[in-house]
Amino acid sequence: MIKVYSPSSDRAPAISARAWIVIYILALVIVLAQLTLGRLISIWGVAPSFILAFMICLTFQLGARSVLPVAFVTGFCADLFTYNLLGSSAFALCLVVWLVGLSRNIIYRKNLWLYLAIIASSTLINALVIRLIYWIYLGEEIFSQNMLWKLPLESLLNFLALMLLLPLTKRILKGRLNYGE
Amino acid sequence: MRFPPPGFVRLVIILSLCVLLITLDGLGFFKARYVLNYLFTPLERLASALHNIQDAQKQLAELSAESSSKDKSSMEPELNQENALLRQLLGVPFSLPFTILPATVIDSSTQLGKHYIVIDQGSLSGASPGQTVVSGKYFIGQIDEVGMAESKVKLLGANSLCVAVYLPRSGFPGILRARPDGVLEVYYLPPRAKIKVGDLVYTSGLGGSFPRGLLIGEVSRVENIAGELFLDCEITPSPSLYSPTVVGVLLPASPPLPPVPYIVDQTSENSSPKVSSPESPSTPEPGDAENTSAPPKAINGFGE
Repeated sequence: MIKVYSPSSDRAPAISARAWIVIYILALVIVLAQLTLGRLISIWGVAPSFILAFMICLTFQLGARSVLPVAFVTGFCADLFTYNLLGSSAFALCLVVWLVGLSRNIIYRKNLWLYLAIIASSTLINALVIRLIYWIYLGEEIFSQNMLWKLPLESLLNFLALMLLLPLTKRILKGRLNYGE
Repeated sequence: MRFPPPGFVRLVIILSLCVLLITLDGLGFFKARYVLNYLFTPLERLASALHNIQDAQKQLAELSAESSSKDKSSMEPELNQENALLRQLLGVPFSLPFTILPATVIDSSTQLGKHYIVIDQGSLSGASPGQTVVSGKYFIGQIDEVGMAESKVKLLGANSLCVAVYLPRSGFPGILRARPDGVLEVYYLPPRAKIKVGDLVYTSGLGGSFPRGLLIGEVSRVENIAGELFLDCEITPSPSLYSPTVVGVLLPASPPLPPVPYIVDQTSENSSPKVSSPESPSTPEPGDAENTSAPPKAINGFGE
């Protein structure tokens, strides 16, 4: 499992400018992959959210405080390239990142079920927040019958995406983080 | 655990920014996003092409399986039904002073909102906000936002879309709007309107937002609640509303020819300048090819 810094210190690792550039470029690539490949690999109309999985990966490693701006930019780009309400994905992503950041203490336990629980709750929160925004601004209904089977399937797919992206981000950020120890 | 948790202030700032963006977008700002959307179009088209190939292969397999299992006799009831529907539609006083722009649905994800789709025609093809979108003879929605090569269409189930309708059998007009649960309802029908289940509902053209005579659906439930001023009337829309694949955008027909400007002929030096116009042609002179030519024809068959 991934090594994270001690949360008790509340100190985020120092990230070099080069690492930030890499992270932002990677985020943009993930957005493009989501918008193009997402539709191709969907199962029964449900596609894994690479963006969400990537943000959770980053939060595990860098902490919510550092990842919040990345989440905002990534969500903003995702909204910009589609016809979503501009800022809706960014809002949901930032909220998820912050909540995942709070739950980082339990990530020390190397338990796969914990990862699954975190990704499932993140998927649920992300979907509900976006639907809530659409309900407020467009009058769309929040709940639908499809949600009952789509959300568990999406959570499972997101979990697979997370397992795929975790080693990738770990490899990319390896040697670029300085924990000041 | 201390309060506020780390990153809380930053979160509040970012979420406030998001709310501001959402509000501004809801108010119709950020037109520049359509240019960015256009730049992204080739990549999206490539991805949707791959997706379409998969779909087409699946559809081909299904159709070939279906055609092998069905014989001609089993098709007869369906054909008869379709024939009856077409005859019924032919009886509707319907004229289209429009040209239809065919468009393919390229996105119908719930992320857009349940009652929105994206089609592959934009301002470059002549689409503009407010134009009517049909599926066959069925009215299904209205263009909401237009990019350069894509448009977002608001479908009938969207709460914010109101359509002036009439029911030809009873002759009463009403306003069609979706309830928050997505069910279509015709409002303002008085109890004396003898509405029956199965009555067809058409756009009335009142208000000028949509053309008259487009079929919307049929009455699925009607109830006269005691003490209520108006009937409770639910509508079942076209089946294609729920999974449109190819739609048509009604573009206004080409406008009539603009009036030809008066041309001052300054070729003759001695005489005063001649003024010619199609309405008052000057006396034709031998060899004057311009004056003997046929008058301009109306374009597109309109304006005759």
